[in-house]
Parts: sequence; C-alpha cells; structure tokens
Amino acid sequence: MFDSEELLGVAETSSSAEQTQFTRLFLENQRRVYYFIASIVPHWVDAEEIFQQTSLTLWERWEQFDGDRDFAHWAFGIAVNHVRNHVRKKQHHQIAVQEQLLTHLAAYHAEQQSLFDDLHENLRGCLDKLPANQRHILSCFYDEEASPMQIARAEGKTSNAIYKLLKKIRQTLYECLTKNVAEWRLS
Amino acid sequence: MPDEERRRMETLVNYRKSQNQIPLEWRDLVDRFCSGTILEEESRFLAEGMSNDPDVRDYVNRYLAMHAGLQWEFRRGGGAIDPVFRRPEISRNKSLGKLSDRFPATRRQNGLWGVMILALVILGIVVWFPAKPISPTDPHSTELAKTEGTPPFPVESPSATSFGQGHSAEMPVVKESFTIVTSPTEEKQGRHVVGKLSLSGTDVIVERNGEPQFANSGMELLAFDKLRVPQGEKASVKLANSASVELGPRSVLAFRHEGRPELLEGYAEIDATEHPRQMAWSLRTEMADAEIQTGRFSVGASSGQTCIRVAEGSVSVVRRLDGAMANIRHGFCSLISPNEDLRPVPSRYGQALLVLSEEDKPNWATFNRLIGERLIDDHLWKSALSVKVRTYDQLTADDLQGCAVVIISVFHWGTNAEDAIAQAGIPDAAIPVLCLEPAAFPVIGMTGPTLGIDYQFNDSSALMDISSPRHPLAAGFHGRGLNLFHVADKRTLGWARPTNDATRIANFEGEPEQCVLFGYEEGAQMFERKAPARRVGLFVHPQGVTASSPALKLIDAAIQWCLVGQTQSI
Repeated sequence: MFDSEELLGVAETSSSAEQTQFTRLFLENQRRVYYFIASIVPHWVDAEEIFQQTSLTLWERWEQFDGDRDFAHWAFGIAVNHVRNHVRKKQHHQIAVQEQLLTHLAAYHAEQQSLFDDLHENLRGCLDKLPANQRHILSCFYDEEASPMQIARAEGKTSNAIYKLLKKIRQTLYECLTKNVAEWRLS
Repeated sequence: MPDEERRRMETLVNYRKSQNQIPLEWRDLVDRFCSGTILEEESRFLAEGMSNDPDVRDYVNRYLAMHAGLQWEFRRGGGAIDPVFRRPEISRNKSLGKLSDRFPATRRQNGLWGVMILALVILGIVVWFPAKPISPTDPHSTELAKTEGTPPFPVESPSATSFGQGHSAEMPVVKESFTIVTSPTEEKQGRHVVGKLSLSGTDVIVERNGEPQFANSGMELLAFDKLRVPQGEKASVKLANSASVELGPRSVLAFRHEGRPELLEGYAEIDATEHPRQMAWSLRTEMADAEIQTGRFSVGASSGQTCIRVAEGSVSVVRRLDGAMANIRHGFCSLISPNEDLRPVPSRYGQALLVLSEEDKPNWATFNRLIGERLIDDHLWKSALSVKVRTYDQLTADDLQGCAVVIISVFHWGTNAEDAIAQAGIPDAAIPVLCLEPAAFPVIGMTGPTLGIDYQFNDSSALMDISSPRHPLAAGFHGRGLNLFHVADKRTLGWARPTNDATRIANFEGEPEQCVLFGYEEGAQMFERKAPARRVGLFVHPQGVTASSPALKLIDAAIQWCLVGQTQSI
C-alpha cells in the first residue's frame, strides 16, 4: 500500500478536488477505522488485511459518499461488512464476542470518537512509563509478532509466565489510561 | 465450560459486581481475547456479559481499543498507511550514540524485581482470596498447559523430526555451526560486530537499542541491530564470515545473539560462495531455519510463509513449526508454510522484470492499479524473486539480462507500449512471460491481431468457468460461474482466442472460446511463431488485485508455472 506521502502526492497532482477531499478525509480518519477493526479482530495480520480491503472499498465507493455525512460513520459501516465477512469465514473461538462487538461497536466508535482520540494521545505517554523490560515484551508481541511461546524461549521463561506478564502489562496500561483519559475517569 | 465451572464463575462475577468492581474474570477473558487464547465457551460467556451489562461492555470496548492502539503504535509506526516502513521522525544528524550494555543488565535487574513483586502479588492473591482457582481446573491454566504441552514452535532437535513429504533426504552433515568469532577490537561494549553495510539509498534505518537512526554506507552492524530497508531502496551487508546479504525493498533483517541473522520480512539474497566450506552458515525466518555451506540462494519472508530459491550449492531447511526438513539444491525452490508440502520443485533463478505503465494521470483507477501493481511487486519479492521494475518508455533489451520471468502489466491505448515490447525483444526472448494486457497478446504472438475476433474486452459477465482444474495454472480453483476477479468495472477484464496448442484454463461463463487464462508450453505453436519459453495469458487488470483476492493466487500460480520451465541439471 501507499504511504501517506505517496497518497497525498497522488491527490495533489490530481486535477480532481474530490480526490483530494477523499485523501484528506481518509488520512484524518484512517486511525479511527483501524482502531475499530483491530478492536474486533485481535490478530494484526487479519486486521491489516481487513483495513486494506476497507480502504480500497472506500476509494471505490467514494462517489456514493454523501458529503453531509460523517466520513468516519460511513467508513465504519463499510468496515463492519468486511469484518463480518471475515468473522464468519474464519469461525474462530472468539466468534461469540466478535458477533456481539459487531452489533454495537461501530455506533460506539462513531459516538465516542473523541474518547478514542484521547486514548491514542495518552497511550504513548503510558507506554513511556513502563519499565524497559515490559516495553521489550510488548514490542516482541506487537512489533515482531512473536508468539508468547517464542518470547518465552527467547527470554528463558515459560509461556505461561509471558501470557501473565502480557496481561499484567496491558492492565497496567489500562489503569494508566483510566487515570489520564478524562472521559474514562469521569465514567 | 462445564456447568459447575460456569456457576462458579457466575458466583465470582456477582461477588465482584457487589463490590463495585469490573469482575476479574471478565478482565481475564478480554485479555485472552486479545492474546487469541480465549475458548469458545468463554467467548460466549463474555459476549453474554457484554450483552447484559453496559459496564462490562464499556470495559471491553476500551480494553480492546487499547489493544488496537498498541497494534497501531507498534505495527503501523503510529500513523502511516504503510504498516512497517513509515519513516521515523528522527534527525539525520542524530549521532549513533554511545552503545551501552544497559539492555541485558536492566532486563536482568527488572526481571529480578519483577519476579519478587510477582511472587508477592501472587502470595497476596492466594492469601486474600484463596477461592480463586490457580489449578488445572481453571480453564485459563488448562489452556496454557495445553499450549505448553504441544509447542507449535521450534523443535530444537532435528533428529526428532521427519523429512518433508516423500522427499529423499540428502541432508548435508553440518560439522560445525557458524558462530561469529569476535576479537577484542571487534567488540563494542558487549556487542559483536557482525558485518558492514553498504547502501544504494539514503533512507535505510538501523535500530540499535530500540532507537532508530539513518544508516550510512560503511557503517558497522552489531549483534541485536535491526535493519529496515524502505520501499524503493536496497542494502547490502558484508558479514564478518565473508558471506554477503543483499536486502530488497521493504525488508527487515535482525541480528540475534551471536550475530545470527533473521529475515523478519522481505527479501534477501545470500551469497556464501566465499564462505569457508567446512562451516555451515544459517539464516532464520519466521517459518524456517536455512543452512548452507557454500553457495547462493534467495529468501522471501512474509507472515506465515518463507520461500527459498537456490542458485548454487544446496540449502538445508528446517520448518520451525514442526521440524520437517528438506534439502533444496540449485535450480530448485521450496515454499515453507504451515500447510504446504515443502518438497522442493524445479525453479529458474533470477530476476522478475515487471513492466508497468507510466504514472502520468493520477485518478482513482490509477490509484487502484498502482495498489494492485504494488501488491504484485511485493508478492514477487516475498516469493524470493528480485524485482526489476521498468515502465514501457524505459524498457530496453538490456533489461532482459538475468531475468527468470517477465510480467507485462496493463497499458493505455496509444502509448506505443506494443512497440516498446517488440523493440526490447520480449516476443523472441527465451524467457517465460506472463501477460496481463490483452492488447499485448498480438505483439508477443499469443493470439492473432484482430480486436473482437482474436481478443476483446469483456462487457457482459465477469464470472469464470475453469476448464482445466487440475492444471497448476488453475491454482486449485474449479467449477463454473466463479467470481475470481472482484472488479467493479467489467471492462477491465478481457478474453482471447489462443491457438489449439495452448492449454486453456479458464473462460468466461458459458463461453469456452473466450479464454481468460491460458498457457503455452515452450515450443508450442502460437500465432505465426513458436513459443521460445512458456507464455501465460491472464486477463486480469491489477485494479482487481487485492491482498486476499483469488487474482493474486492465479498470478502467483502463473509465475510459479513460468519458473518451473527449464531447470538446471538435477
């Protein structure tokens, strides 16, 4: 896929103001769309693929977009269909949760956009507060896509310990976000 | 989940609710959803909780959003469309910084503190709430125990493994594993120098101690460094053991302990011809461990798949998933993935020449085409093929040198692309050709020259019938009325009427004379000429290609069929 600069380059050299508009809205909202997809599909490879399909569909159907509507709303609607197809095709153990998430998450994300923007803004700060070894484990799991088993081998620990450590780290991050994201704190 | 276990969990949940807490069990479950270890019954239980309790739903939504945020931060570099290669915001003037050994020391110390704190926490939990099961009856514990019992990843001892299906094993006996020998002058604060870098571009990044920095030609690489090559660039590493590694675009190479290289993603061409014969040299990917004593080979690595093509010598491969082994000799390649037969198959070695249109008029169709062509390009690199990209106006006969296959993508009418193809000598080249452009067929001799009779663009059905499902070009597809190309505009598909010597694989639904996919063997009679090497016609516009589309599988099968052509002596 293109990176942002290339995509903007395509838009800027284009004679069509509509395409530039698409590119602007897409770049503004792509993170929200990705958050939505990755919330339902936890494995990043699947999430990436659905995100790519969604991006292409958005591009293909841009002519159908009603300019009075919210772009993120529209994008979530398209993403829901791609996620639903994926969930039904794969039939993972998570399917019950995924079906439940599908029923309400698009509306939730659309209504709570500022909440997720706050989350994003605070996440890096919370990550910085983690000890180096915990950041390392997170990096192995999320960045290098190592399984807990692989991390366990590399770290000389059991995979059970890595699962527990990952849970602990995520819950620490969650606590940190709860303290920092105003809307979470209020609720 | 047994009824008793379910009742126990419900009791605990109600207890925690009465204490005004988000129940610990749901926290566990949502975390396990993130890790992908949740069981089906637990998933239903969590779904019920979300359905019945808005607090739980909010908690799950936020927790999952945080998980998504972590993926975004780590995998997507915090904001680019491109998942891996967003240029980090770092200064070119940033010094490499003093290397420190804080990495192992800090981790050790933190590890000790972590163990102590964890022990105290566990003790506290056990004392405070002894009813919390930390026993094999806990579904979580059981699942983890199951995972421990059947490790899906590396089998350490090759002796405990079986050879690849039906492959007669001729594993070279590795007498001595390769280890980089360090001297005091080569050591820098506890890390070994593993090689020296030379670059063709300026945006290659080295991550050292987790800090990204732009690399320079001549820079020394150390153990634990990670090298990222962005789109459009290449890098070359001369390793301390005399082997060299050429990295393609969008590649990530990490050096592990003792300097062992691991190709995390992308393409690497390894030249170990100057490597001492008595020592084995190894490269790791997500799926495979490859060892060579002396020779040359290329590797393409992506998630869940590694492809290895051998030009010289032989490479022994162990699939990390199950320890299955294969020996790949020169002129062969092997695909290592969880469900594939890793038996080597004959394959040409060399570059793939991808011929594209100029990017003159950006519009939506162009955007889609460029994405499709980028996917094909990526796919070729990950199939262990070095890719040379040329536009029709750049194409010359010299571009065919060293090519194993030519892929001709679509072009606009009236751009003289046909002349460029002819002048470059592609029609007579003894190199396999995969052609995606209907209008190029007459030039190459794959059909006659008359539009509407010999070839045409489709304006009715986009559905296909597979007429030769057992042929490798069919990529395993079979049946009638298949929607293989998800394109909104049917006119981006076309058909041709090849000669009787062609193998016809797919045609438009109910139209056996309108071939969408066909192939000529080397020497087969085409239109007014014999095929100098294999030729494949596949009428699919790159606009219809996405990462998961059947079109990409068909293109992949066509390329593999082209490469199987003539092989070196076996």
